[in-house]
Amino acid sequence: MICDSVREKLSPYLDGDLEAGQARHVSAHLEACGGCGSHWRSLRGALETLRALPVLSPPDSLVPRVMTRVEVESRGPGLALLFRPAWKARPMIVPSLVSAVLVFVCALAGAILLDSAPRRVQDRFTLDRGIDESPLVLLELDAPRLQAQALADDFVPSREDSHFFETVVARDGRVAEVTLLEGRAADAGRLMNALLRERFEPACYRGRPVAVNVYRLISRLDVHAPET
Amino acid sequence: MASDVALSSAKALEATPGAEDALVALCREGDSDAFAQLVAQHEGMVFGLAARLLGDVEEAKDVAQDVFIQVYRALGRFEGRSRLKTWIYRIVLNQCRNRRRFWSRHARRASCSLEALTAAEEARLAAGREDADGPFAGVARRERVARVHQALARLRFEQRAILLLREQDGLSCDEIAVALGIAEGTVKSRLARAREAFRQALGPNIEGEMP
Repeated sequence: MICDSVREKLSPYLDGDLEAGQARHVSAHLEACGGCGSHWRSLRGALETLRALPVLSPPDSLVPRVMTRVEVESRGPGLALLFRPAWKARPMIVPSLVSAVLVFVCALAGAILLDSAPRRVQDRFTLDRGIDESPLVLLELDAPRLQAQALADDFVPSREDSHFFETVVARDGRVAEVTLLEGRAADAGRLMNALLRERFEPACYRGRPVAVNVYRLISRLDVHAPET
Repeated sequence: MASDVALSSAKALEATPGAEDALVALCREGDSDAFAQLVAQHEGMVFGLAARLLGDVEEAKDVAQDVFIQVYRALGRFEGRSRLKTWIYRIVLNQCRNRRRFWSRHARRASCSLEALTAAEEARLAAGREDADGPFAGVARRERVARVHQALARLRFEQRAILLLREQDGLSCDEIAVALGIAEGTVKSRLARAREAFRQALGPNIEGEMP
């Protein structure tokens, strides 16, 4: 037990880290105990052997090689490094760049096509070829404005319903034609008469009156009080 | 001419008090001669520790160069709270530890590498030591050195490092604590275990005989 305690203290004893009392106790035990004395001599001998190993030095001075590397490092990457073939160090860089370029070209081509499509459609329906046939020219058109509405006096629908009409507003502002596109024909007669009596300030394209088609959805919604 | 002056001023720093601080200051200013002086002052210590930790002379040379390159890069961050030597020791230990990890990842046996530093290589690298006592004494010395190497090879890396720093390089426990980045108390307890492990690995028959 005492031997274990003493052997644990041999390292600080060797370094002179023990208090004076402890050091005396260890020293006395090492003289008295043959096993611990032998252990102590063995430890001291091993460490002295280690301390006596010769000092090693590099076969050649490291200074020239280190200074060469320092000089290279302080210069930064040279032209050779900057322009070295990139694919040697990064074998995936070429396929990656090709893919990126393809994606970019596709996106650019799509954007150009999408941008030019409306212009081509619009070009087909220029004024010279007859404005009346295309609703797309409404983009540059002043819409017809209603001058006299006949609908309020005549339209007395009998029940909740809706009708969808196509009316042709002529260049002089008259309603030239009314066509029922959807709705009950039995209820639509008076509505169509009313629509025919309406007058418009004609639509204009670049200052000239033009005939246009106007689509109208006429609905009636009855609101009833809740039953009590 | 300017570099000669700088070199002579760097050499003059060796003899003056606070020479280390002045040398570091010159290195920070980009004085390459001062840095060469710093390398020359510490190359033996750096190479010796790396060679004994790694057991491979070529690896030790590579590590020593890497250490000085790292010193060159990091010298601006050296705060002077410890001695320059202790700071460099820390870099050596980190580099050697990284090199061993690299080996372990690439399935190289570390124990074999330490034994690769043979007594013949030791004799070749030993500074100023010759077999003046005759051929028999030389053979006996080399055998003893080989036994020390084998004993060191049986220790774990951290035990070997702490033992070499204390017994070979003579660092104090607080300097070792700085170099290893651990508490001084931990250094003392690990040192005690490393000493005992080395004693057992070396065997009981060596009692202070000089190699």
